[in-house]
Amino acid sequence: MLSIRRFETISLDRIDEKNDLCKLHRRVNRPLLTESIKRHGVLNPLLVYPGGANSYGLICGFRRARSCGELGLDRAPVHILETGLDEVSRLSLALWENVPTADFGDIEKAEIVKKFLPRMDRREIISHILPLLSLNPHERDLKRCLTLADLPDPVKDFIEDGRLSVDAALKLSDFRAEAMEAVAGFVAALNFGVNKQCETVELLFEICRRENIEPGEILRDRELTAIEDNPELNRPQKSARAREVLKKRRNPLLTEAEERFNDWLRSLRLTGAVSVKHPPFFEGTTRRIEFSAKSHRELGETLNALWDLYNSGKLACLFEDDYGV
Amino acid sequence: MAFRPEYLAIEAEAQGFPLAQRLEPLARPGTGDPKKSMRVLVNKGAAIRSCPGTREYICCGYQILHVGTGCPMDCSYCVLQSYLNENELRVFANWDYLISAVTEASRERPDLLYRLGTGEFTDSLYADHLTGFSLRMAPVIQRTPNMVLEFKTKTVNIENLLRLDSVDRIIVSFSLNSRQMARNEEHRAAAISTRLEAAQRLQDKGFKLGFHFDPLIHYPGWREGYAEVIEDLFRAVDPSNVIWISLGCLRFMPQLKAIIKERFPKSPIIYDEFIIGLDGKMRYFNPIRLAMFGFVHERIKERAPDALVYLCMESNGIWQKSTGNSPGDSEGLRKRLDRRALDFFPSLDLRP
Repeated sequence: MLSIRRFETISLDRIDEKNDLCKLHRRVNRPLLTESIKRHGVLNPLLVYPGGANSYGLICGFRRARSCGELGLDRAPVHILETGLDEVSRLSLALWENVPTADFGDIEKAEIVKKFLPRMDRREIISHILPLLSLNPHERDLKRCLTLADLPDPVKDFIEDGRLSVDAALKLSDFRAEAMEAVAGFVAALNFGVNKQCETVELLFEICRRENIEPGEILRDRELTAIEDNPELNRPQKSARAREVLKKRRNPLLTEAEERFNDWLRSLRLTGAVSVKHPPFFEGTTRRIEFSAKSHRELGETLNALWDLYNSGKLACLFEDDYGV
Repeated sequence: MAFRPEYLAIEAEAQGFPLAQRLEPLARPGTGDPKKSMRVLVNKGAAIRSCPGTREYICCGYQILHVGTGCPMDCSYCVLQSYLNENELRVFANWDYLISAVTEASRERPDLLYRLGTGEFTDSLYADHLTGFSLRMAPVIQRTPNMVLEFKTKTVNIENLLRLDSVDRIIVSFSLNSRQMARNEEHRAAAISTRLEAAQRLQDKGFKLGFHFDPLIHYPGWREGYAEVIEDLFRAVDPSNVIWISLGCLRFMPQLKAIIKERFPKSPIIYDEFIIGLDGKMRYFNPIRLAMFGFVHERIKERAPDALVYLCMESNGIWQKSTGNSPGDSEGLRKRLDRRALDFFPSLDLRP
């Protein structure tokens, strides 16, 4: 049980904010909290421990302390704990104090877990700390947290702003630290959903690995920058085109084969009722022709059109031409 | 350097077998790096299995003599990484079971030519200096009139083979790759030049040899790389002693990609232009396979016009376009290889 030595109102100067082990929120500025303190004062005292040299370390109340500072208050009420609390105890106290009410984001959870890592047995973190943060008590979740916690701050900001999905961010860890920010910025700007964000990060990574280049070289590609600078395209159009450029660069031969096949298909001038498909990835020998009709007459017209194409030999290409394959 | 396991466990059921008794002095139970560990156990499954080929592509009809699983070498592309649950080298001790399966199979189907091999789930020779398997099994095969046995390896562990009284119907095959790929991707495997030196020594002893360019890996400079090793191959061995040469492009189950990415982060081989083939495996997109097979096939044929070169798990179309001919289907390829074996080993005797 927590033993509080005394309640006091102390000068904020005596709180050592540099010691931020127990600071669990990334963004401490909460306008509503500041407004509350402005109207009613600090309703809930800060929790501190004697930090030596007439100063105190903060366990709970980083946001309250910041708001007080912003309001020009120089004193705040505090509960002062007994001395002798170790780091794990202080960290646990801060966590338990916040968990019932705080809505931690993925990055905050990851950073909390990382703070425990050098101070607590790994198995204990998995079994006790992860569930407290609504995470699965599993090594995989621990690793996921540590990967997120190690991302550069600007990337974490993209996640917290909702511009980059956690899944895509996790894939960023394949890149060197210096490249992560640029890739994250590029992907965030495309405004894609989770799956396409992940796909884009993977495309960039795989192109880099195959061509043995840094992502910056791809992102500076003239074709990509021209799309971004084109004022006639809206954001979804820009994003779709950028994705196409990357896919083409990742799979140039497959893209070329698809283009040749589509050129040939267009040359047949088929109506919308007929669809001709090559086998997936041009692997295998079966070609698929599908057609639909709304009436007996339309069916006859479609069959006649196909029959004419067959007799002219134009459909033979479907089986003979390799479309660059 | 010959393999000497840091940990060697002999399972209780295997204790009474001669192999276990021979390995007993090396036994050191414990757990450590699985790549440095060995386990002796009993095979309770089939002793002879058909190669898990694929219906969608043309397969060679190879039969596996199941002697063990796992491999202490560490090739980045190795399918065993996703195929096996255990990474340690596991050798089966109940050879009598294996031998009776061999003799029984031979007796049951005297009309069938068995091309047996031990190199599917493990390297055929990696631990041969410890197990002496080749010394024990070669005479068994030589007594069965319708079988050949192929040892496939990336090692140069051939001393036992060189001690055999007869080399009849024993094929020693080496996996080959370009020097660059062998160096970068085939960790702990023998260097290409030493593999070829070993092949030369076996040839001098009278062995028939096989070579497997599998996987062919697409990388900048692949043409020069494979051309060089083909030149070296035929400088080292006489083509008339080469029973067959197989070619297979890099392919893998999709789940292996993540394993390679994690275990070999420096390896770029999984980032080429792969598609999902008819068998669900990742394989190079058609034009890459065509280019590679065409080039390597042509280079081999330039140096060895009579060589039997076959493609491992490829389509009729790829066969036709890259080699100019196709066996049509798996049965056709099986017949080609059987005919070749009959030509190379006159002692083979198939009875209707």
